[in-house]
Amino acid sequence: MLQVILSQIDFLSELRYLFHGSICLSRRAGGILSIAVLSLGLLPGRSAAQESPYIVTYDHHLEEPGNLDIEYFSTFGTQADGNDFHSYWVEFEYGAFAWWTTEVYLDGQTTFHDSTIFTGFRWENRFRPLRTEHFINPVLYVEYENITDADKTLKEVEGHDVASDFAPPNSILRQTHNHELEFKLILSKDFRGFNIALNPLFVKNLAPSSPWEFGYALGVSRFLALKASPRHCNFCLENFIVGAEMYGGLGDTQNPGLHETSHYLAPVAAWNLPSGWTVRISPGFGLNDNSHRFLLRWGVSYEISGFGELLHGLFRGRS
Amino acid sequence: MRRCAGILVLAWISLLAQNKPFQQILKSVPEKARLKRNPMADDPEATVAGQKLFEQHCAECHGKAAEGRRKAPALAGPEMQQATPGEIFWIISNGVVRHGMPPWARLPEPERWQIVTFLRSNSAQGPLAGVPEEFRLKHNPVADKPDASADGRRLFAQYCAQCHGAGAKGKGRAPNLVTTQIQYATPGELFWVITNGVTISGMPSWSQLSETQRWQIVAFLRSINAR
Repeated sequence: MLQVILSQIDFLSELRYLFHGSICLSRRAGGILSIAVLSLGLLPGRSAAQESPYIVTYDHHLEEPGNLDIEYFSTFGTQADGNDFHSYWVEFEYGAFAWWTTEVYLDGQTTFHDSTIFTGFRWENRFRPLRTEHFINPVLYVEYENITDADKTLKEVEGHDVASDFAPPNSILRQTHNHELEFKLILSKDFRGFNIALNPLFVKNLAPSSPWEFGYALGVSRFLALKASPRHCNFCLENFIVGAEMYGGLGDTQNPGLHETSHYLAPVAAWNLPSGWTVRISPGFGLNDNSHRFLLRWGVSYEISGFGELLHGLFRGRS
Repeated sequence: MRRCAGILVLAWISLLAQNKPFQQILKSVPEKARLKRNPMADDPEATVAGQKLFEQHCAECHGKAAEGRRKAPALAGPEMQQATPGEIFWIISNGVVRHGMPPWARLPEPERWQIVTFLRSNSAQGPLAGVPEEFRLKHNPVADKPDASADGRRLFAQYCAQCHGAGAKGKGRAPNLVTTQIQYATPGELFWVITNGVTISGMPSWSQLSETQRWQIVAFLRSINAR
């Protein structure tokens, strides 16, 4: 546990070096960023979040317009023929419109008995093309990733990603930078308190010779209670959602299929507090020899309502 | 050229973000959804649970008492009372995505019906709820007279502005009269409230004014709430 906490402190200092030193945040900018992150929790506006419990899979529900969701996720993973790791990301999710959600991720990791490093950033956008709910609801997902090979967040598994990719030391892994475009077709349906979601995934490394890689994520979840209680309560069953998700790679254009791919199955649970906080936990299990045997993931998030209006007011000189 | 395209895109986005009148939104509800019955209508706890859910998920845009805010319309007015439960349920479930309201299908169906129950009961409260049907449909006999609104303004300044403020924007306990609720109220409803007062909130009856004077105040209120 102490190791995990220490790794967070190392990560904050590492955040100053984006892109392996090619662009650096000054010490002052780093300080401002840290204060901004810490003070966001003190903003007055908050909204009871209704977040899905998935960590990898996406459903079709976007962030409410004008709201900012700040999320922190951790993944502890076991590593065969190498050191176990603890990876983490901070996520800023903003509802630009009811049909467009945009997110920025900052990733890092600590490999035990090795080092703590910042591994890159991602910019994600989700678009809802249809006006109303349908039998199946599609959402288009586009993400730009600027990460190194040392990124161990496992936010998605694609192509021929296997556990042994993470075995080399960080000093070697961080030398390879990847600029990738990732596309997902999010298909999702709500039915009698259940949510079922399927995300086929297509990734293109922008290096010219790289093939398209494929992957998938599948999730099912359900509220523990479908009717709200008239009481204001944190522990009412209506605040809990449980389910499971499965995700893995499907090869690439040169070698499609399940050969040399990894797959995971993970129960998931979310606790949506009326105060705007959401807590998620998910123990994941590797389904074949190419997978990490065990992943323990957890995250906390806080939703700030009216963030867009607050910014608008600041730029207009009014609060 | 690129700048022009940018301006066009921004204009399009700002058009999308504007509030759409509630009546227009209701028209987009499919007939089958319109006729759905509220399975929670007879549940005594549904109103309280619905209010809790409304405060958690809707109040940030629509206001705590559903009075409406810059971003989203009031849901406490007569238009809500006239909407069928099925229509309200459909709008909650599907949102009005192009105009900023997200779909709330992420909430389980029974919770969405609980919100419908709350909205119906919430809009039935207030002074307009008690207006008898025969008054509701009355026409304003001075509506066509050119000076009616100006005369009404003078009467309002003399008798009403002390509590409701000179601009009718509300003051202290007296509510704002430039709202969607007043916009959608019929002239007869406004006339009835002026005539009978609202005892519970301390508004006196103004039956001592002549009928014409009361209708003139109605004409003034309608003019400042013109759609």
